[in-house]
Amino acid sequence: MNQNIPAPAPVVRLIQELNRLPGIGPKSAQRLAYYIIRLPAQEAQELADAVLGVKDRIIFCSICQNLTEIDPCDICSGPRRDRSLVCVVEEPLDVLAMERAGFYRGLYHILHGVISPMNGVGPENLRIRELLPRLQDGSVKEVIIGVNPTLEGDATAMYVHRLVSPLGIKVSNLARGLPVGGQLEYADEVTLSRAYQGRREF
Amino acid sequence: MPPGRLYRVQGVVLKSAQMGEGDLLVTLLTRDGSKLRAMAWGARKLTSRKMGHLEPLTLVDLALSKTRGIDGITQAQSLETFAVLKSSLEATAKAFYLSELVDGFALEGGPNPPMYDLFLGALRAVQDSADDSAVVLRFQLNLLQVNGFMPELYRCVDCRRRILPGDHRFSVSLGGALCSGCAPPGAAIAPLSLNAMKALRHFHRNPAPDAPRLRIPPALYEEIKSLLDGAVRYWLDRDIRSAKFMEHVDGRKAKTLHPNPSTQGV
Ligand SMILES: [Zn+2]
Ligand SMILES: [Zn+2]
Repeated sequence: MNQNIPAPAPVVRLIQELNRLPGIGPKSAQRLAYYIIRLPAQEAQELADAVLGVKDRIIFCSICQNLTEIDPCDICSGPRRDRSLVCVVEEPLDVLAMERAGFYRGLYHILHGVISPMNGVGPENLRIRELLPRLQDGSVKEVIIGVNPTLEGDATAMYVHRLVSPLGIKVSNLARGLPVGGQLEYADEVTLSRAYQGRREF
Repeated sequence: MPPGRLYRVQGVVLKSAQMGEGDLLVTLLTRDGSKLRAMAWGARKLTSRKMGHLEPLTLVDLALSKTRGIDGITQAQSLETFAVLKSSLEATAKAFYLSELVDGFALEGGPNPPMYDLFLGALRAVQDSADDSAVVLRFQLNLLQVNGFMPELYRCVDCRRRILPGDHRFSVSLGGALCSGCAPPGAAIAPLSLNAMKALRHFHRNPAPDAPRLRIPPALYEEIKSLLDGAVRYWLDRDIRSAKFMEHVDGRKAKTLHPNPSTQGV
């Protein structure tokens, strides 16, 4: 954009709003804005409706904290789910990935982030506390921690473990191993040592 | 250095931030004690060999490529991963805090080798004795020292007379200890106990993180901590965000960890 000739105010505002989205820099925001400007009115309306629709109709499941239209969500109210297992994940997208893989029949608990002290995100900013009431009636036998194997993910896992283990419930971690398709020789030491620690009997 | 030139650097990763689709912006304290920010393009792809080496709190050897903007990381090899430290919640919380302080004081293009030695030594000390609360206090005081903000502990900052045992107070903004006779108008002055003064002087004379252990009772710890926190906040001119989490998981206050004690199991 030419510095001397500012874009009309509504365009500037759209660029600013898009720029606030994660992963969207100023250049991408400009490209998206001008793409939206060229859209037929009908399509622009549909985009706006979709944005407002998620804000109006999507709520947090009061049990697992996942995003849902009905409370409790389909998974929490599913008749065939194994209610003795709760898998703790960072984001709703992680639930989608697990469900796509199709092997897991238990329930979930979505934290909506990880503990990130340097960014000012503590346990109180996540939905960790909401896990405890779910573990009171004795039906849950195992909590499986499935957060990403990063430093912050590990700190979050240790924190959840510390919170849950006094309740006498088994806490396990997803094994952190080698990515399928990855090659042993290219793995870094951390991944390798975790793959070793997570080894299981054949 | 002209763009495209390769160079190597060793340092400790202070933090990393996800950028765009699969890139990682890494901030390091290099061995010369300056701050370096570099981009690892594509590091978050599962097949990348770099990601595991670029986790925060890793001592890493990097090959970098000079660019006009931010330099690119072409190779990464971890030299020390602090795996034991990272297996303890208390130690990890302390290490986050140390990293945030270093990130606050370190300057890009501003070498400060003693700060690197201090930081690496403190990480190792936290790893070796996660329950030693003095490690963080000793680090705070000596971090101020290596950055030129050492509080005066031996002479009154106002009248310059030698501080006598039992006759001392403390002012962050005036730069250290005051005798009881001096009270410059407008300065915030806090009490400073004899034991706190002794501990501060001990940390100053024994800066090495593996110095003999000092037993610090909780009340004394709180006094020194609030004083050093005040000094750090004063010189950085901002709050240290990871302090809250470090205090939250502190072993001595573990009771507060359960948000609702009545729901605690047996
Ligand atoms: Zn649910
Ligand atoms: Zn004086």
